[in-house]
Amino acid sequence: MDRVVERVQQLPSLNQVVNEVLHSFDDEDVDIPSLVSKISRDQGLAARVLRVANSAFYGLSSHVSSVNEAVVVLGFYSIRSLVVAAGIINQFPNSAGKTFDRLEFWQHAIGVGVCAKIIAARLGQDMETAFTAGLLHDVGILVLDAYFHDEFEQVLSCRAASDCTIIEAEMATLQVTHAQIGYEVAKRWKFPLPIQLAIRDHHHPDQGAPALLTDNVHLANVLCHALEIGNASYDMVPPLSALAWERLGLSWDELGEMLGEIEHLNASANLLAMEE
Amino acid sequence: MVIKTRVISLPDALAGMVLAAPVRDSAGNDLLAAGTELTAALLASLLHRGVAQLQVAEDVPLSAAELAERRAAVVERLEFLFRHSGDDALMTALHTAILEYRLEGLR
Repeated sequence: MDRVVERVQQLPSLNQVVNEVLHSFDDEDVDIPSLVSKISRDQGLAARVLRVANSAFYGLSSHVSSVNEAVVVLGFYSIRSLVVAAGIINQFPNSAGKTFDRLEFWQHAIGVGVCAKIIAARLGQDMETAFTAGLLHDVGILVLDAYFHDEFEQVLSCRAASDCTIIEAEMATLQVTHAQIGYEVAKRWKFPLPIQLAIRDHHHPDQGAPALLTDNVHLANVLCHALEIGNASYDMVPPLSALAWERLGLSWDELGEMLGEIEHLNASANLLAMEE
Repeated sequence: MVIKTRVISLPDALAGMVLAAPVRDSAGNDLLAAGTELTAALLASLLHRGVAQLQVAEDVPLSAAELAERRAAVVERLEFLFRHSGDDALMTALHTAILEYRLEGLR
């Protein structure tokens, strides 16, 4: 664990604008014009944001050519999660390994984001925070793949040999999990606290203090495994926490209605991954 | 249930049709993924991008035997995905909910 924490501390700082956008999730008095102007001035980031805004995910009838225009058409709150997605997707170098498929990884991450957003809409929670938390829930896996590649290959071999979940294989092989590593990354990059906790506890929402965002991301992750949206390195539905399910207060009928919405929205959201 | 696809020109495409293959622009960039349901806004966007043709899924009724085969495949796949859930009541309920959802289109 110490080695991992040390490596996480050496991660490059998050793009300053992405960092400010992340912090604005906690700020009800966010200065939207100033933030939009900062996004516009970061040309690389603005280009990525526009590419995604113009993709099928948002189904725009006409092309948007500036961040300002995108904010007018889509609203600041949608653009905010899009900026975070665009800023973090490119933050980790590709590894040389063939066992782990990054595209499948991002499809799963985006699927969990979409699913968390739909759950949040149903529960009256903040949808964009839920999307962002879902998108980033497995960020620890990227650290393993990018910076501890040999160890990660051992985890994948152990998982395949024992037919277990990845978190069980991580504990058996490394004694540290992608959820703990993701939490270290989230602290390093100063993600809003509810997102940090959702990343840390998404497999075990019973362990921390009760938190609705964590419960949401936990359920979203389980559902994406059940619906086979992307592939987080194993074909298996991880256990659903009874406590989290109870706290969310959803009925099975409501869940049934949401499954169609999730698959429908996800079909176009996949383009987020393809755009990169 | 979808078992065939056909290529149509853009003016013949209608909202509600489902793409059977990704749509790409002339530079080879993906514009829409397979599985996307077309909307009026998406069709306008494709026109704007100069897309001429689309490959869409065609609804063709399956025979009773084909339906039974598909249902069995869904049941088998979900049993595999839930193979470690044991007799946990919550996981059994989730398994049932997903199964009902998957079988909806195969009746």
